[in-house]
Amino acid sequence: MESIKTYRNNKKLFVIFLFVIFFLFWFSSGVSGELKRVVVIVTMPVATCEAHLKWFVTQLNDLGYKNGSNMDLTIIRANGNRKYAEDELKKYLKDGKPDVVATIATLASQAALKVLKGSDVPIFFFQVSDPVGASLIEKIGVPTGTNVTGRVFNVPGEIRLNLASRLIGQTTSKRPIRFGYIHSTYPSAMGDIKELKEIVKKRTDFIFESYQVMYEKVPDGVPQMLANVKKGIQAISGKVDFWWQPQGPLGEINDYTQLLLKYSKIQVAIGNNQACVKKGALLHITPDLEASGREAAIFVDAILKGADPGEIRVTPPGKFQIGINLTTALKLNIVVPPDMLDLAGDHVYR
Amino acid sequence: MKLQTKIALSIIPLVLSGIFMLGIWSIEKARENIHKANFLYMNTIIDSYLIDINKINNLLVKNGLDKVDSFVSEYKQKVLNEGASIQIADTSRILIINKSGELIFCSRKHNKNEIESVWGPLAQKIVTSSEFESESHAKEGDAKYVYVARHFKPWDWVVFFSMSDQDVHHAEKQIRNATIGIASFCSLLSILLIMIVFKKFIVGPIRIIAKAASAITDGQDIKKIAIMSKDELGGLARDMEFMSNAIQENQAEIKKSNINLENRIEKATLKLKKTNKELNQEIEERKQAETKLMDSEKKSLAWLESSPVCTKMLDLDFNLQYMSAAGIKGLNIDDITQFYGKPYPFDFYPEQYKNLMNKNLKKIKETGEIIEQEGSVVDINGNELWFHSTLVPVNDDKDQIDYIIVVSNDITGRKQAEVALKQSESKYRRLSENSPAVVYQFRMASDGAFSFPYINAAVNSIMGLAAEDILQDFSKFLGMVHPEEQEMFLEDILKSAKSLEPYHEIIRYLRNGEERWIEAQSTPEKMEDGSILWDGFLVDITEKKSTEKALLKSEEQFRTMFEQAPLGIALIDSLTGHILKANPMYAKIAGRTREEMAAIDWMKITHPDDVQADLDNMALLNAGEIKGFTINKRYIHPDGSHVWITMTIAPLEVEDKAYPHHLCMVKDITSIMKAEKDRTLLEKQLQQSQKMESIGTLAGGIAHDFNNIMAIILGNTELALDDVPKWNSAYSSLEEIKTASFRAKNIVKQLLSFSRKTDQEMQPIQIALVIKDALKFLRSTIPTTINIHRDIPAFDETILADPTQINQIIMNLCINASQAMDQTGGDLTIAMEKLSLDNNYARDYSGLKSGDHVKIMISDTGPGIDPEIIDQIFDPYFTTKEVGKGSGMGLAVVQGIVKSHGGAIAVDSKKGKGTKFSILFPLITKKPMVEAQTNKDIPRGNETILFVDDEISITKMVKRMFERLGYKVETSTTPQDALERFSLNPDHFDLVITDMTMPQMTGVKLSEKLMDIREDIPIIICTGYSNLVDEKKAKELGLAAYIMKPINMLETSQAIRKILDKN
Repeated sequence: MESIKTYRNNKKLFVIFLFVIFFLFWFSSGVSGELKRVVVIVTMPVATCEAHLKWFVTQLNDLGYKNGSNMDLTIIRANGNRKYAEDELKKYLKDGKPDVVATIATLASQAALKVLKGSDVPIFFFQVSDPVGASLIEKIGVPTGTNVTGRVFNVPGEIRLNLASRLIGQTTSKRPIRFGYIHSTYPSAMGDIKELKEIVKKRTDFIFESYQVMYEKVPDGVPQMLANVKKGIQAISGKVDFWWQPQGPLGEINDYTQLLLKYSKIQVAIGNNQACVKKGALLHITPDLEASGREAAIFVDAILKGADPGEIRVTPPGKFQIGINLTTALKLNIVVPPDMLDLAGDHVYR
Repeated sequence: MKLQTKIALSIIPLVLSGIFMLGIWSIEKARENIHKANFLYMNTIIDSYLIDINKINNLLVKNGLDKVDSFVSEYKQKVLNEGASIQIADTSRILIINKSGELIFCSRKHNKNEIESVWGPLAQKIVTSSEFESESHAKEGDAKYVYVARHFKPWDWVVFFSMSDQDVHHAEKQIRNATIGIASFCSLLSILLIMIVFKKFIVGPIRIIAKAASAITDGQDIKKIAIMSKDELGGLARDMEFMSNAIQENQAEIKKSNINLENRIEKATLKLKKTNKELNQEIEERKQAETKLMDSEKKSLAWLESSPVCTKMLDLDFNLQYMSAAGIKGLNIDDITQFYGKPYPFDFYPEQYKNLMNKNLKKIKETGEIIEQEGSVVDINGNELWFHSTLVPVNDDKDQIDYIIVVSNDITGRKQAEVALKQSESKYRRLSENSPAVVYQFRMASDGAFSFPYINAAVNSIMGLAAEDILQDFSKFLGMVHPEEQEMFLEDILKSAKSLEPYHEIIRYLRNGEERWIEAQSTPEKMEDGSILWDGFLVDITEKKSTEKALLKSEEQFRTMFEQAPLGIALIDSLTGHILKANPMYAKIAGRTREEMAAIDWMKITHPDDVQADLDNMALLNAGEIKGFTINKRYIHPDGSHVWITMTIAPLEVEDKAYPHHLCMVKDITSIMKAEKDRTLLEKQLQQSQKMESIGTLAGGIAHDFNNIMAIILGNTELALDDVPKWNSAYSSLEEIKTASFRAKNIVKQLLSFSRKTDQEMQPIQIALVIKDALKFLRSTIPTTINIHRDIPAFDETILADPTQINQIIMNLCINASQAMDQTGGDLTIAMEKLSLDNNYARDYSGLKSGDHVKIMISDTGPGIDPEIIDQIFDPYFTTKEVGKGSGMGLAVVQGIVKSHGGAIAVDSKKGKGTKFSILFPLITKKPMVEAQTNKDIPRGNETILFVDDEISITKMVKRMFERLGYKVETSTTPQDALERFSLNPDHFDLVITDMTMPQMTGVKLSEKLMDIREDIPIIICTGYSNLVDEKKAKELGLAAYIMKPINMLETSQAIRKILDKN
């Protein structure tokens, strides 16, 4: 009798074991056959947004989502026009609710939030430097408790200033060193300069001289903004030692760095991305685009599988990218410390 | 010598030698491992450091900084700092020496010279030697060192990691002493322990056991042996205790068993003697009784054996004691004795009989009653036999049942007859009862009364009447018959009764108010008592009747659908394709009557071009390769017109495969086809208008630049003409350039005109003169292999036209004609005549009204136009010329111009016989307003003119041009400059001439600003082309004049003079 009982118990355990294995297999197989409706809103056609979009979609594919098969992927390109993004999203909603809306950069995120606020449609934003300032969330680092979550696209100002200090600090013994910051009224740029100014208040080595230009829609408004930047260069170039490129779409514009170098004799200390460094900016440190694009897709996958966006903490990205222009460094007699050169890896330009 | 002493003495040397060997081995191993560990430690530290150095160097090399001194020195310093921060033992140190033997770095306080003298040569040797000892010893003063070294080639650094040799040996010595001490102590301790253990735990217990064994052998009862340990010796002591106890118990048991055995044998012997005596007495009594009984049995047996009745005798346990011969024979038993003494009834009897018999036997035994029973049994061979049996109890002297007699008569024959009868009855009853039809016997008595002697239960399910009710009362059946048919029903019965013919009628009856039908069939037979008896049946045919009714209705519906369908439907013979039956709509679509349709061959009403497609599809359909087809085709009506139809043919699935038909459906789609044609035409027109739009956009785009260029050419040509004397051959060349420039100007104007970018300048012109002018240029553009014939009468008829466009028509048609003949040569004829059109003739030309017209004819002797494309020659972009030779716009332009002049164009061409274009324009009575302006003097002046144009060449040219005419000319190439000049001194200028299209500010905008400064300043605006301004708009804006580029000296100077004189 005892052996029969044991056999039965073993049989039960074996069935449970098989069930668990099957469940794990099913779960690990990734994506079910159900069609998922995913909307991506891209703020504007700038390199960073496009790179984020590319890696986001690539990661979704790697996770087993295939557009037209188990995923209906709709990409709304706002082209810098928030109203347009809102209208397009509203049009999309007429055909049914999406399973998740991913937004790239601030303007697209604000548009999605305006349309979907209070609904049960999850919004995942990324490439947003100042989500609190943009009124997307209330606080960074804690679960939002709403249908909105995402990743902050920003390297903390303290880190950027320390890196700048190690390099720019070599060029002169004069303190404070003055950085010129010509920025648009775009939310992320406004948030960035605010943060930097707050930090330098507690330090003696740097100060920021800022100049504000009105944000114009990208790409149509780019010439106008650059014309205003030119005025800014003329206005403050006599008061600064180095340029510090702003965050947001203005800093993303390809001609911005060139404009600073062309209309002034002042070097650009901190660029906004690799392209800026290639064009002559000494240094850039930004979140790693591939990593943050892929990370966004992983979170979206989790949301599609049932994760509550309100329980996902909004945190800064985990991987950064440093770029250094050695020509500029040599020109300024800066010896780039080995650890920074090592961190830059392949992103060292001459 | 005691045992423990012997054992201890034999083990102790082994233990001692083992510990000694272990100690020696340990010391050796420890020394070796200390050495290895030291070197391993040094190698690890130095390799780790080398990795860091290499990484730093790689960074420099990878980024091309290995030649940048600031980076190299900074990075090397970084490396040295890292070396200083490495945590190593106090007696160890890291040295870095370059290839010159100079000390670069030492991680400890040091004497540089002393180090360089020892380690410098070593480093140089390592640098120069490809193979060197990376692990070795060195002596620095009195101190000895072990070291490891690495050569870092990129920087030619030798990195040493050294450790004091004394430290290494000190560690070895410590281990050796410790090992010897521990080994000696362990040896002594183990000897002592061995002795104690042997004495206490082995030798002592063995002595006690030996003593106990001796006592057991002596027969003593040993209860306890004083060894309490749980080891083998303790176990041996317990076994010996148990053994002693068991020996004592066995001896006592054997004694007790012997006494008991003797007592039992004595008692058994007395009992056997008594029993033997009683048995002998009983045997004697039984022998006497048996003798008496045998006599009686012999008598009875003779009687029973001769009886035909089977008699059986059973004891009270129902075992068979006897069976008479009749039974044995009846059951075909060969040897009855085998059944005697065995239970009755026999096993081979059926269970049912056995149960009955057993039940009755038990009952007899309990009640003593005589019981009769009937039942079937089987004989020994399995044949069924029926018996009637009487079971009789036979009592003994004490009136108790002694045994049972069973007397059985064979009633098999009777029973078989009864069964056959029952089966027969049952069969017919079932047949009748289960029949779905009503089976009945109907009787008409000799007095005429009707009744049903028999009717089965089916009458209830069919008519809802209980059979019992009908059997008792015929009127209930009659009451069910439909009131309208009751009389006829009775008449039919009487008729059958009279004729004795079978009765076969359908009876309508009412059940719960619902009308139903039964079919009755029966055969009458006259009985002996004069009555008539019908045997027959009734079948419910209500459903059949309903189906028939529904079928009729359905047929009616389908017929109506067929007859009234808005589609043409026909049944056609699949083999011949002939229409077998067509509905009215089909006939209507085909334009014939239905009778005509049935008689006509389908091919005769089908358009000849559509017959083959029909045949092909029918062939595929009949071959089973398609299951039907739909085509659009044409039916020809008797009056010769045709209608477009869409026809669908599909085979009809009918059971009679030998007679296959196809179903054909047709729909009149003539209006749809027409609408489609109209739509195609509209699309074509839309495309054409889009093409026109694109030409217009293109023309507008190039006109401005082209006219600017032409302005420079024309202006400079005119200036050159002034400079060059007429006798100079260059003068005529310049004249040609000027003429060609005017033509170019006109072409641009035409292009804009054609694409509606500019208004036509319609004016009364003498058509003959204009044509003659056009033909002047023709000769120079047409090859000499082509003869040009002119037949232009000298009349002064006038038409309302734009002379430039008329010129364009002539040029386009003549050039087309010449291109048609450029390979072969031929004749080109341009003729003109006046004619008057009446209404009938005018109808031949689309858009033309009756009245006087001029007809221009241009004909060639070329290959003619292919009839297949003649309808398309006026389509824009249609061309038969090679790519690059023609735009396909020439004839489209011609047609457009002719139509815009209220005229008409026709073409007549025969293959191989040339082409003739005829153009008709309505004549007007109004005379020409303008005539060709030739040889007019160029007006001159001395006023100040501000000329504004962003093309510097034009400003230069215009300045020269007007200065020659006496004017003072100031020029500006930007509107801002002009504005500034004008603002400084507005009254300085008498006239402003400005270009329209300029960067930053248009001419109109500039004019507005100038007029804001000085309201009365006359301004001429000139443009190559602009969609922002035209002559009308210029006037609205208050501008003095509007001039199209290129600027012509004569026209412009006239305009200037006119304006200045006016002011």
